[in-house]
Amino acid sequence: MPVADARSLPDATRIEGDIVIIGGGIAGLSIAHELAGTNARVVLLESGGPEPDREIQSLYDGGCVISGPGNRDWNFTEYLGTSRVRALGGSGHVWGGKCGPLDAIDFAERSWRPLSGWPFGRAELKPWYDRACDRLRLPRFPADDGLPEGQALEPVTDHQGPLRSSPRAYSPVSGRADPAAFAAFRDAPGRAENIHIHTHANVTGIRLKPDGAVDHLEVRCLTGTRHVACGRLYILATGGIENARLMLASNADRPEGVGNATGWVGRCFQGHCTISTADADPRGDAEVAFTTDRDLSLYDNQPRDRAHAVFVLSPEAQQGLGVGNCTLTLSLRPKAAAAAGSTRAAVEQTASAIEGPVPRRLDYFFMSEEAPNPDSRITLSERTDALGQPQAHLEWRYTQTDWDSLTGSAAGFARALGAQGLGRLCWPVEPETLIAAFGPSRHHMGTTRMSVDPAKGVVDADCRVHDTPNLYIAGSSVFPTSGLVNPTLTLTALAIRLADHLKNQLGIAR
Amino acid sequence: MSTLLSKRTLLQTLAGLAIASAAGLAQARTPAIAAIDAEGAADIGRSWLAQHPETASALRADLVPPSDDAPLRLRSRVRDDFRAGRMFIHRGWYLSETEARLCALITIS
Repeated sequence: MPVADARSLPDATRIEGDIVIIGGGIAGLSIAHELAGTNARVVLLESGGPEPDREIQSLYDGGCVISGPGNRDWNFTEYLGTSRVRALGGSGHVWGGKCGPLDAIDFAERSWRPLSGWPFGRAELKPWYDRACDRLRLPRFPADDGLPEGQALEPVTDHQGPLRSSPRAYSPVSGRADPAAFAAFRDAPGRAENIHIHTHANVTGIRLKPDGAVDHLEVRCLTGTRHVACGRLYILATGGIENARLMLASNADRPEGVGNATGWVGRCFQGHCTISTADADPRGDAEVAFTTDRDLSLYDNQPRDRAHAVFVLSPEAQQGLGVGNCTLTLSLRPKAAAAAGSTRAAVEQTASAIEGPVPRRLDYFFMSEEAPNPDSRITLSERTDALGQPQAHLEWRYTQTDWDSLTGSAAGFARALGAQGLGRLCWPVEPETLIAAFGPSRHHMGTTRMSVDPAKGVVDADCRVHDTPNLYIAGSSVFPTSGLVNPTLTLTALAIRLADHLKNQLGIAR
Repeated sequence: MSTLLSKRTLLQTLAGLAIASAAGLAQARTPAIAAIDAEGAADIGRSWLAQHPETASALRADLVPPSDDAPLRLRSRVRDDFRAGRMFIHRGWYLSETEARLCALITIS
């Protein structure tokens, strides 16, 4: 069906479907793709239009403070408005397209990482990872942590040592890299007879029946018109911040909000922060000096037409160091030579004397997985948006555990590189300057975490809200732990898996 | 001019280390070790010595014993250091203890 503008519907229209999807980002659209052409009537409600719009985007404004022990707070007020896009296609409009599956250890319950563990492992998710790769036009990744099939370049690590190579690839379904491919992904579901997309339709409330199931959705347009949307099943797919905001703000029937009987909604926010050597160390000393003459082309993350790899530490090394997952991503652009008389020159020359080859000086960026922290959370602000909805406030709080993991991971990489004769690492960031060196990503995870035990999370293994039987959540907000790979491939796999579950629930057929 | 002086300084350093006469190491590694920037190494070496006071003769005996396989032993020892987490951090650089001691030897010889 053609995409309909909710502003042009008569006031108080009742929008009905078998399944109502709230949010037309990559998660919501992936489910719509899977349900297209079936006998289910699917309604997708999107706040924005096909392209980003400043007035609509301002509905995302809110507060954000990033804090951590010994560091100055970063009052990053722009983050909520600039790290996501409120339009059909969602943040896919600005997404760069980098993808990869989570490492196997990311799914595991790790004794040294509180609140870790997914209800299933990577191997169990493999069939949906494959379909997500097909949907996003990526090479398929193997069930283990190996490189995709057809990868010609050789890694410099094997599967035995502490240093491993974890694959990444770029999807063309990226608004930034290939607008035409992205538009094709965004627009295809709307052409199916059974998919009814309503743009400019802001869900402002989830209303519950006395038994706790969703009764209907309150829908408002910026023009002032109001509608209701009803379905048998509902899917919340508005992103890692907005999912929590809407659940908390939907407090007309339950004061704690929807799905929040145990108080987990909004908690355990996790994002990915990069620390680039170029930014962290203006002196330019920071680098990884490779003392191997083996080909490093696989680690060049620039070409979009083939897979590349980042360095990770083995599960055994992570456990031995007591750290979370961590990655070291190279830039193969040559750095300027070290100045005579400098520490850097001496280090490189000493390493060369020991290992043989003249070191190659490379910039890198480093990432370290943050631990789920219930105090790192989304709450509702006293400020409201143009629809009268309370804005979100993100208290993004790091702990000493995160700092220890971060510095321990850097030391772990240095150890692994040296032990395998591959190189030497310079990590120049002082603990009290970590936040100043951060480059926050647009990845928002953990705020409606998945757990088998209703007392420890918001959704179950099927992404169904524990205490709201006909409400499901799609997107990276369900990730119990974040891993370090860009979340889009995993959230797409989970969305496809959820679509399969819904088909079974409703007996949907093509 | 400065390059010539630097080379001269390095040759003097090597002579002081007696590396030139160390069997095996002299043949296999002299050019590479000679290329170590003495000034930069001294920066590391002084930092190491401030925390680990040692004499030149002790360091020399430990690091460059007369041996045909000295270069390989040095490499193996460096990798063992990293494997065991025996590292010395200087200005953000993670060095093996052996490398730091080598810089210390260059500094005090």
